[in-house]
Amino acid sequence: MSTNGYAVNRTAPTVRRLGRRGWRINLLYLPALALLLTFIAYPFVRGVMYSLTDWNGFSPSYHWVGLGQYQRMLSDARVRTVLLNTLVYAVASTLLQNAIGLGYALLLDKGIRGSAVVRTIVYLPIIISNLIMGYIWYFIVRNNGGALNDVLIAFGRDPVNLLADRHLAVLVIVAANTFQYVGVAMVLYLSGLQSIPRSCLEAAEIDGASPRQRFWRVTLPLLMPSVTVSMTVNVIGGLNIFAVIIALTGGGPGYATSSLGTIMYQLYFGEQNAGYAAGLGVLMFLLAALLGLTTLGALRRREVDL
Amino acid sequence: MLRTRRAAVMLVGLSLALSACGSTDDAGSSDSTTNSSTDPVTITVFSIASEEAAVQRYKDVIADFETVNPTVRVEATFPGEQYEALLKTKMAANDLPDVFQTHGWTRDRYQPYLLGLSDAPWAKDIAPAMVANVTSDDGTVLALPISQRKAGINVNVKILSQYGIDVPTTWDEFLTAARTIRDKSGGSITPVHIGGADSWTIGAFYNWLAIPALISPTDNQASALLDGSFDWSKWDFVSKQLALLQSEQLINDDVLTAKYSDSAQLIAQSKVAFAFYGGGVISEVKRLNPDVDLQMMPIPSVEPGDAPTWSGGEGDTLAIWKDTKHAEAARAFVDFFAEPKNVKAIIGDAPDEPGLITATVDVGDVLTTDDPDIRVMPAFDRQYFPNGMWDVMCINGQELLSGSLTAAQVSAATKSEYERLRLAS
Repeated sequence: MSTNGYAVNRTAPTVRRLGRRGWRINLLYLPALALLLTFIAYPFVRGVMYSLTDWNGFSPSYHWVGLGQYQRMLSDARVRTVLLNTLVYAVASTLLQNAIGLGYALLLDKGIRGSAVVRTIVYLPIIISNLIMGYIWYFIVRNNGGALNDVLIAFGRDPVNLLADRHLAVLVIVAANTFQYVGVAMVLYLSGLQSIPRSCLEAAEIDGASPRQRFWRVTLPLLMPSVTVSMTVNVIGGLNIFAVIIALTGGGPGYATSSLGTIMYQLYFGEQNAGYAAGLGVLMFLLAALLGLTTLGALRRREVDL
Repeated sequence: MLRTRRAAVMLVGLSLALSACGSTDDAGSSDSTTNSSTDPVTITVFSIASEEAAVQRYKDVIADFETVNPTVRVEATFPGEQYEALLKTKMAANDLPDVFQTHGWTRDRYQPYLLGLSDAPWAKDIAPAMVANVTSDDGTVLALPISQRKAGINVNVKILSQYGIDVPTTWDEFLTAARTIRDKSGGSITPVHIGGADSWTIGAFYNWLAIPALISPTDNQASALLDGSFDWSKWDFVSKQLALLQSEQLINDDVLTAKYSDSAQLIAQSKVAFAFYGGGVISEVKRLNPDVDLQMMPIPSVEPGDAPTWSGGEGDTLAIWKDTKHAEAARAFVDFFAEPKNVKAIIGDAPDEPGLITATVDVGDVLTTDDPDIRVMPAFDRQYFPNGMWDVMCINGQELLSGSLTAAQVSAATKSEYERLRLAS
């Protein structure tokens, strides 16, 4: 990306100019490094270690079981369900958030009247806690006295119990997550759109490009840095989805709507199976790394320099 | 160079200042423990109480304690549903509250973390039925038993009389009563309501029906469950009864999406005949509708010749962390709760018995029967399952109701976790 090149080119000579005293600049990294080691690296290493044990989550003692927890995952039907759910949450939420967010951004970029109000309304759900958002959606879709059913009944239709069907329940969770975070994508795209020089679009227009061609050939390629950031953030966010599920379905029935995050919580605190939960944590890390890096790599290649 | 030295001096000075702060703090806490009559002490208390009325009862007694003991400040926390998760995290970190509730797991889960209380003034007054629950194998008293739980099936007696039904005493009578209500009410009354989205409500069903199915009959499975030789095909019965309630539409059709709060609202509206929530729901329902005629009936028997039972055991308890820095204040706090008026205050309008013989309570007309011969059986999971099985029952029950597992598969899955947890414990 051009901005990276710019940063490297400017920083390197500066450090060289500082000579022997340049190393002191590196000291400024220490607080961040300390935080990273304390809150990310250390828990991660401990998590990997616990995944090789049968620790119950609170006892001072445990037994080493080697790769037993990982072997168990291969034959555990719950893990397959939860893995699939997690992928749906990550991929579907990401696609929806980005598609809708981009739509909003394109609309708002035209400078329509009331765009500030629309931008605020779309962004507003982000300031609500995930758990509260989950409960708001629960009160909308619940079978007994839910707002949606009240409306349906008022129009003479039969009520629906969306959360009773596990597939529909998964989609409701995707919808709730999308509704909450679409504002992030919108803001990222809006800032990306506003940084595209008008001259590029005007040049394309003079060359006879239609609005559709201008979007696909000029706007979108120049927006790719924003797409990269938004998609990567959304994918990782989707993998970590937790509170909305807890509020809407509790991960149930059984594990039908659970994500890797909720089943880890359930196994750790409920079933006192912390070793297995830690193993799933390692699996989640690998999945997040794989999906995140794949998304990042695939989209980076499509970015163009101005 | 000068700047470097100056920075080093400042760093050393800052370190000394910080360590001095630490020393002062340590000294302060040490003094406060040994000289509690003058220096203020703050003790942390965690309570599992979650319903508004129960939390308020605790807050009232705590306020009274602080009035009587002006040098002790109490930081009370009521984590609600997260209580167990929080306590497990704190156990792992060996950083427990000074005083906390052991909610039925005094011996099997919390014992290594508890301060012995055998010398407490109330220790000799523990109700006989509670002694085994709160005492270690070597006779050390580990917790103050404030109440003994007595739980049964919630029943709207007005609905029963409306349809000419007597309070059922056998499971067959219970099913017949539910079918009658289903047929005669035309759908306006839900015979049995379960807020199964909160999976504990399904666990409660298993926990209660397992008693008459496996424990209370003369020929029972108690020893087999304890020694690990239990024939798990017998567990199918409980699952099959839950599935039967669902297939015959005797429970709410939104059993997997309704929550406990939905149950309470519908019970308060007199739209539910039976529920498996015990005493806890009564005060909540009465708060929503004081006129609803909600009582609690013993769990019907399953086997011929057997009699109904209550599910019971440890109710509210208080224990002290063995490594507390404020043992004196914590002991004073627990002793205060052991006073008869405070035992009575904490029990409130719940149909529980006091855990100390010095206290008496009047449960009023909450129970359908005051027959003293009805046995109070220990809570099934606490007595016969290893620590950690509760959630297994809850989740497997949900899987059964969602059609993901059959009764036999539920038994197999429950057996697998039973063996794992038994081995771990």
